Amino acid sequence: MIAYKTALFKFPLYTFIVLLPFIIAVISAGIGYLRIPPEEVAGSIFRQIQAAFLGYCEGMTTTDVVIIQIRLPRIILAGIVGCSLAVCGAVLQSLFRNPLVEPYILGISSGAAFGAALAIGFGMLGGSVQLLAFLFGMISVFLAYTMAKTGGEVPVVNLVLAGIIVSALFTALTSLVKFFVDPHQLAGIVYWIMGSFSYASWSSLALITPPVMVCLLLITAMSWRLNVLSLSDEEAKALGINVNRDRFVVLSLATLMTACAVSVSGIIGWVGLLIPHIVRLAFSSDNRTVIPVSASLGASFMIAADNIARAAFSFELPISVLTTVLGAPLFMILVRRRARRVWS
Amino acid sequence: MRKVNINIKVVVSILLLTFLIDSAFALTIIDSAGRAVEIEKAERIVCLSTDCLEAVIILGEKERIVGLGTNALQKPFSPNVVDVGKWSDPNIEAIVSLNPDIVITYVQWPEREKLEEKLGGTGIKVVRLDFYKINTIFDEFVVLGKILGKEERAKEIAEYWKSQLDLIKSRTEGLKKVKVYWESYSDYSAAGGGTGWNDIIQIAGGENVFGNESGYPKVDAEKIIAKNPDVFIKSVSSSAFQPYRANNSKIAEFYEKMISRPEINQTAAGKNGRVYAICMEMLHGTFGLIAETAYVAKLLHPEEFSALEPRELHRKYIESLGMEFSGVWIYPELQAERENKNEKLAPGFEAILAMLAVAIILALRKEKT
Repeated sequence: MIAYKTALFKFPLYTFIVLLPFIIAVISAGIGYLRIPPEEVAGSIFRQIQAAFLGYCEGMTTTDVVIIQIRLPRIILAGIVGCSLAVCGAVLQSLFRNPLVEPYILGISSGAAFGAALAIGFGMLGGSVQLLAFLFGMISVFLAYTMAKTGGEVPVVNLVLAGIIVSALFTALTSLVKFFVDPHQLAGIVYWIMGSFSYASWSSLALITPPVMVCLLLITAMSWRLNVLSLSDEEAKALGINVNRDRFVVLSLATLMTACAVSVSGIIGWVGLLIPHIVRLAFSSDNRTVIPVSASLGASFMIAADNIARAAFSFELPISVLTTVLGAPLFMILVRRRARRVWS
Repeated sequence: MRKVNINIKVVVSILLLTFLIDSAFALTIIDSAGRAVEIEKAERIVCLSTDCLEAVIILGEKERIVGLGTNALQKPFSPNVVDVGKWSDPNIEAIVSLNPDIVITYVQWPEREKLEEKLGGTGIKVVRLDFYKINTIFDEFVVLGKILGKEERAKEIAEYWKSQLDLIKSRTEGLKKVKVYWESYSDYSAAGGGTGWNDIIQIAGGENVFGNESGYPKVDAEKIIAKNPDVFIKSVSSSAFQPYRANNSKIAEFYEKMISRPEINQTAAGKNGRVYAICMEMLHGTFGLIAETAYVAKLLHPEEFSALEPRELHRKYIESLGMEFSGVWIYPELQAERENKNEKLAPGFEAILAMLAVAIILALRKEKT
């Protein structure tokens, strides 16, 4: 633990990285389709904090509503989702010992998409998109895990294959739902799959924040075990680690986080792949650094991308498109720079 | 000489007669895709779309329908016939096996390759008529009348509905435009320019706040506040609520959930209680569009249209489908006033602040040890 702390707090750079999402969040509160001057933004936030702690409440003005009920929940949600996806990406990449793994490897996105399609298309469970997306996301991973399990062992290759099978199955089922619903519902499903934070509210935040934060803390606490898990199974066992149990625990935590993120925001690609890579290329591949820094950068990146999605035009851009368009060139530059360094 | 004359007369009259008979059976119409279709007879019809099914029923020719698209077949007024598959991707074998004279479908769907090209050589004619656009429906209905040999009746019906629509148009033309935000079935998906709802807003004397974007643009709460609409209309899909023969408890629930959205009370619409949910099932189709326009005109201009009874138009439409007029389509009922209430901050905010505080304290404590 001491070593971890020194790694994180030794340099001002790390302190800055930890604070970055909060700085970006505060700036983002002033960005939006409606032009609100910064002093009014600050005033509104101050008044609400006052109201929350002192119970003093006068009616909310339109500015207050925009800042407190529309922008802030959305910014915080984007941050939490970005952080979850980046951390899950980092965790799964080291668990699978493969840099190309993303949080959706075990079919969680296809499962969640199927759940959402059922809710939007057929109004199942009272049309509760979040609940059904969460449920089917978890079901798909559970299926993949059970499928991969052979004689008490869960080999990584089996997991990847099972993930592919489950993904294919749920993608096909989603297509079936899309085929049967009428065009307007179809548009709803397509929008959901592209991902969006426009449904953000304090109540959705209250639902997902506690589980995500708990998972994040536990994963951070287990990050040294992750280092061991990324070795071969034999080596890990030799180091006294219960590989199957630890892999199960880490996988469950990562799945829970991703399912929470996906259920409120739809499927947002690239963040889970891009951020951990940037961190590994720019800092170190020690999970004790990779996980907290990925959390911070993931949150910052997502908040920044969503600012463009919500404020740039009079309509909303799909966030998934933005994360990819912004992320791809960034990623390419990093990979090429590293390639030059390694090859010359 | 006289004999020859008679012979010529006989020949000419026979020729004329055959020509007449021929033209009586081979009717050429121009469909909405702009193509001339020669129709010999139309005794057996396949309708791929619900709108086409409605049009045929309104003309009183339900018996001629031998096959329907899956969605159309699920309607309460549809006859019990063969399912020919999805409206946009029909089962050609099912259609051919029914041996219909004509297939009626939308102008754009299914694509030519999926329908005409596959039916080529079977002698089955494809007629493309939309019946869902308020600007073309009257002419299309008359074309359908010609095809079914009931041109006069079709003209009569089309004239009636057109006169009702013209009445609304003539009154809204001079009025001040009311700003409308019309939301499609999924939340924050606005009805933009080029959509059927945009046409209805314009005819009913409104201005669509997202009319400059085409299709169904995705928007968010802040943009709706920025546009500050005077009236907020939400389309309710049949999967959320089925209006036919329903009472208003479930739609009231839907409505309460909808108006708790943060932006609504910040717009003129929310402040003045002009937020409405409109159910589209058995309203948003063929001549129901005129009833829908009438409802919207009354929502936008309650004083000018105080004498207009949209429910009567709606009743007429639903009865023309052979159904009984009962159910709830608009909530709240027209003219109802709703009190403007201030929403309190959601409790989640305090919880998150508290959690942040705890996290900071924990972090600081760890730092000391």
